[in-house]
Amino acid sequence: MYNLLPFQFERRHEGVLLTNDIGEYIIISPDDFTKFYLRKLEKKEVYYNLKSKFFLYDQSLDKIIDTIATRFRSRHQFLFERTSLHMFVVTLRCNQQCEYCHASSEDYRKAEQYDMSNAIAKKAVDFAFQTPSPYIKIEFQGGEPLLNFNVIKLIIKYSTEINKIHKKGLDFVICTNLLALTKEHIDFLKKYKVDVSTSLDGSESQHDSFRVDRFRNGTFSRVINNIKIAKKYLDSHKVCALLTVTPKNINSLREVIDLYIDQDFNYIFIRPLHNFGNAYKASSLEYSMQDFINAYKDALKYIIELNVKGVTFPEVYASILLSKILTPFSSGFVDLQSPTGAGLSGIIYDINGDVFIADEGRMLHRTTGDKRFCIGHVSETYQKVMANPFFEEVIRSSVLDATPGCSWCVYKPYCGSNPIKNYFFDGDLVGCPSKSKFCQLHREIFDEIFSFLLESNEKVHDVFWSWVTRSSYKKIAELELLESSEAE
Amino acid sequence: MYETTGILYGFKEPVIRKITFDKNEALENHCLCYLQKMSNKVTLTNDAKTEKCEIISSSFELNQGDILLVEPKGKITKIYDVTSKSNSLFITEECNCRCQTCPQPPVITDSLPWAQFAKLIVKLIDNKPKWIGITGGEPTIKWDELIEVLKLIDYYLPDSAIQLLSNSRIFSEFKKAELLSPYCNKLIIGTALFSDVDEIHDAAMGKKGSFWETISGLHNLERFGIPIEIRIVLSSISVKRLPQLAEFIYKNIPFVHHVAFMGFEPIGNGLKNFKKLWIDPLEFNNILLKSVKVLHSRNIKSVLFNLQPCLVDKKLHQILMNSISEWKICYDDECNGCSALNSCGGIFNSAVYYLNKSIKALP
Amino acid sequence: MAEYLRFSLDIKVYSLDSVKRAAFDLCNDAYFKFTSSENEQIMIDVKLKEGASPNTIDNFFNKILDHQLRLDLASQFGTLREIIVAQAFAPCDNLNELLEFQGQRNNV
Repeated sequence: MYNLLPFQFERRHEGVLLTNDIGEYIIISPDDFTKFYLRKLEKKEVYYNLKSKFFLYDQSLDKIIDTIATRFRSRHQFLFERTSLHMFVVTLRCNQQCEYCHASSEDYRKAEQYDMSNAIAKKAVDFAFQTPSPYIKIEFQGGEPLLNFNVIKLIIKYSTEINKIHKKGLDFVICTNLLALTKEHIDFLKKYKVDVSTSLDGSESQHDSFRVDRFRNGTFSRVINNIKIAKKYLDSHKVCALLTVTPKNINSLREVIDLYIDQDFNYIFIRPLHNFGNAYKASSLEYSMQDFINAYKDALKYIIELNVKGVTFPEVYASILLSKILTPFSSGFVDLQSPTGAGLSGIIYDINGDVFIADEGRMLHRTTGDKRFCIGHVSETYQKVMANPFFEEVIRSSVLDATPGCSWCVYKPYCGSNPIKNYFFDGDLVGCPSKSKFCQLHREIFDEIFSFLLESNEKVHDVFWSWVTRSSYKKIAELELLESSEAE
Repeated sequence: MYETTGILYGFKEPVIRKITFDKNEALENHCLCYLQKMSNKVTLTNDAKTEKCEIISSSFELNQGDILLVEPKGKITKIYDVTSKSNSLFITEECNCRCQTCPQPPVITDSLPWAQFAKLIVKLIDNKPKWIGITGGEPTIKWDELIEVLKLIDYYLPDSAIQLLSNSRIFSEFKKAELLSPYCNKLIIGTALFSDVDEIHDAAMGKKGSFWETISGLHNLERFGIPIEIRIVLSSISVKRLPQLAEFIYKNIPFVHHVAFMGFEPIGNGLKNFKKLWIDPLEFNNILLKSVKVLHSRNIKSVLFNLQPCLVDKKLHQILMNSISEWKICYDDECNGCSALNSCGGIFNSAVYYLNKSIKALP
Repeated sequence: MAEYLRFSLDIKVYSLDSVKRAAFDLCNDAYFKFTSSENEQIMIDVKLKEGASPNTIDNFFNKILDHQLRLDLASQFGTLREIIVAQAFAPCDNLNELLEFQGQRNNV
């Protein structure tokens, strides 16, 4: 005689997939599933598997409730730590005018009224350090951040200084097109161990189709050159690139991946186009979500093959999802959390000190004038800004367990919400998963990942674990064990 | 050789005595000094000459700093061995479980004042051991004495690390775990798990409800930063769901310092339950390899104890440790000429009969 | 173009909630309209949208069954999800009460 613990389920061709709120998953045959929910499953291996993964219990509940609660708390550690990612828009000026730019950047030749001032920057740092989080990551965005390097230097120096009191973990990352990179920049970035995140959309023709400078010239060769320089003078692994999928590269992602490996990048992050800013208007940038999904699946397959051959090269989005599926830990990915990561885990300071809960919220303001996702200003107190009532409404509207469609989805424990995107496209913070492209994308990627996981191909599992633990495929596949010197 | 008999004069009750060759040190209480050695006979005495002990056995080595338990009926046990890297303080024979694999027979109450002896031994130790173990029975049953022993070790042996073997059930009480937090930088707790399934583990422990108490205890220990070693005795019970247990450890106690897989020693309760528990290492080789890999790919270290290189996959040799108690070792005839003889920990003399079909000298 | 398909479902067998949830899941692939009728039946009009899979109607029936199962399971789970979340964030003073109540529910 046993009782059921809460779970979600979905029928697949491999069997019935069950998941629960502490992140466990299990696949069982349809017959076993029927017996299981009728509470008639006999004590055999499947029964024990279900028990040890907390899908059923047969002793008294009070003995296990603490362990279950502890597992749940571990997965939601991000809620206790609160805002760790602080994004600073240091300027709206940009030396490029990429066709799909989501940041709607201003011409860099225009006046510096589009820069964050020193005074605002300092206030924003003071504001950021009031987070309870033991770790802060400061991310510089724009426009093109290098164009206002003085404020970046101020922010880095000032935050390093006040951190001597706060003693938080402190990291910096700059999102830059690298076009304006100088030796002065490199020396400073090296000194303060700043990570560099740039954009590379593929081969010269692919990259230059959309990523052009203000004179409409391609930027590929300059970017490649500066990537090499940056990797040479900073540690190579501190320079990474993001891929924006465009109609020009969507059908040749394999070649783009080869190019990334050639350029000595350690991983790739394949993202669909942000449907904000310029991208929202231009139809030449359109491809269907289904096209993206198909291209992504093929790219993932190719990347896994490369890893099995010994090239440790994760796809970052898949790695994040795998961390959520395979580990009992809280994953620090702001864009896919329930409740939303917007404001709770990541926050963004505009050039004038306005505090937005997410970049999409800031973009919404710039493109439509709707400023509701601004919850305050850096000159206000932290408590006042964080207590903004609309912010609370956003949080309430983004809990998957309370969202129709999501609350019964088998992928609920691993997925997240995006209330701002919902608001932008549907006029509603909660949204409708059945109609949402965001949901379609995640459903299909989860389906694909679970197909790999349920196939029980040891090599693929080894690849996934090498991504999740950030070690090499070889170390796992060939069981390179280290000696424990503490053991007797 | 850790145990022998002798002819005793003036010992009225079981006592702890330290061996010393230093006549000045012998002036202190609890010391026996080496008097003379004549052919096979070694004679020890205390300073006041009220106690005398004659040991006939030539293979009973005595070194400066060794500590003996001398029982009036003639039994002499080396309870602290300066040549060993792994000495333990025995706190009690009592236990709150009845493990099927237990090498010690169960008792209701201690036959000797073990906890008192332990406190004395700590004060007598002079060779600055890197590690000192605390074992039993279940040491936490004598909670107050255990805490005292920890304090004494902290004071008299400040550079020694401590390994406490416990089923951790008592630490499901938050406050008890808290009391260990001052030692979090030098203490590691070794706790056994038999299965990822509560009823299977409880049956192996002989105590219903112990599984969840242990898990809860381990969580509390983690809250105070106390490192944990999970010990898995390789019997037919644990081997059956070994990879699932490895996964369970990762999911529920991912903070463990490492996992120790241990070869089974068929003595005590272990021998009684032999038929139910014994499984030849060659049979579980693959599943052990798989389980080590499960942990390794999740960044959890494993070590192997009480297994022999010839019975274990080559890939696991790098984590194979020598036997935890040197006095248990012996080697089979087959072992002569084995290339791994120097690194092998040997075989439990209780197990050598059962293994002799599988033991093979390595080329 | 596709027309409305009409069929009736017995509400004694299929709960209204499970039917609505199944329709919600498929609202991107079809238009649904519900009307109540006699004999505890409900009338469902379904019109497939352009590009929708031809399996949509079959999926709809399968989904109704699975949603019915989910609703039954939810009544078994009771407030367990809430108890777990509450206990995870701050230990409940009345935990034993809550668990006992859950236990009684399961024994029914």
